[in-house]
Amino acid sequence: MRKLPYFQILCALLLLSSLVFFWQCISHLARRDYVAAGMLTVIGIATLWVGSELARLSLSERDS
Amino acid sequence: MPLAPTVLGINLWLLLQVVPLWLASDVAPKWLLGLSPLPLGVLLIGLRLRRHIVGQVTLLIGFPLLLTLVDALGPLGPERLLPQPAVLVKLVVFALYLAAMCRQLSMDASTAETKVSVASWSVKALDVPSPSVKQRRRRLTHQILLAYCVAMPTLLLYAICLHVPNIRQFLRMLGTMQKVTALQAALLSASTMLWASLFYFGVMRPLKLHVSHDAALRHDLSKLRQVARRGRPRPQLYVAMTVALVGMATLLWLSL
Repeated sequence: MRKLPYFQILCALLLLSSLVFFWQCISHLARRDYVAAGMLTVIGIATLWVGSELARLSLSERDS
Repeated sequence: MPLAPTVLGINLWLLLQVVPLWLASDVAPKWLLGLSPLPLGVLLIGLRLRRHIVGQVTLLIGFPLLLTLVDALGPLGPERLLPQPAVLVKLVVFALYLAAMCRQLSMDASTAETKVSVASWSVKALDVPSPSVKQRRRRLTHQILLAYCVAMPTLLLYAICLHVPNIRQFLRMLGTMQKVTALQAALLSASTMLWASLFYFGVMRPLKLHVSHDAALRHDLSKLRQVARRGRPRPQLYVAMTVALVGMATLLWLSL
């Protein structure tokens, strides 16, 4: 039975959710809520970072 | 016999010799009338021998020279028989004849060469191997990169100069259209500079280093590959997770 690629699914989810954070950041910028927009940018970048690390782990899992 | 040079040559003969002689048949000397079929004969013989140098010289020099025989003997008949548009038509037909003849001669020469050199060849298509997954992935990456490099500046250009709500907002903010144009120019130049710098440092420079097999880059890449093959998460993962969670908690706390 084939193993479910958890890391890959999680990685895709994280990358997509970072896009949601960036979208939220733009909407906060439009409402002139700069503090929230800045924080959302930081959260988005951190989420992207986690996603890329998980992508690396999923690749090493696939190769092994 | 090639169609275009033959038809154009006969037309030229009719225009330059037959029609003027026919119009001035009363004053033209009898021997000239007798010689009028000569250019046509030369044209046909030249076309028959066009693969030889004699035929080519005849077609490009001899035939046009023979056609000027009528003009060389002086004006025949009244001037109204030679209106300006007729001269233009003669010139156009002459140019077309020369072009068609040169094309035909060059085509004859190339087919003769091809016949000699390739006649004994047996042409077989090579079996081109299909590109590997790595190559296809690399090509796709380059295509995406190229599309991104075109799409981003286009988006900026659209947002600054063409998006109507944006321009309306600029106008409301600045008051006059002249100031809006100045702001658009400044924004465009700033975004162009920014994008050009990013493109150089983010795309072109790494690609250049990769193509020139830069030693430092190769060392970094091999190190990165070694790290990537290890199945353990790096400390950055925990840092990034902490930052994201703390950020979300702070945002929630601030919004409540």
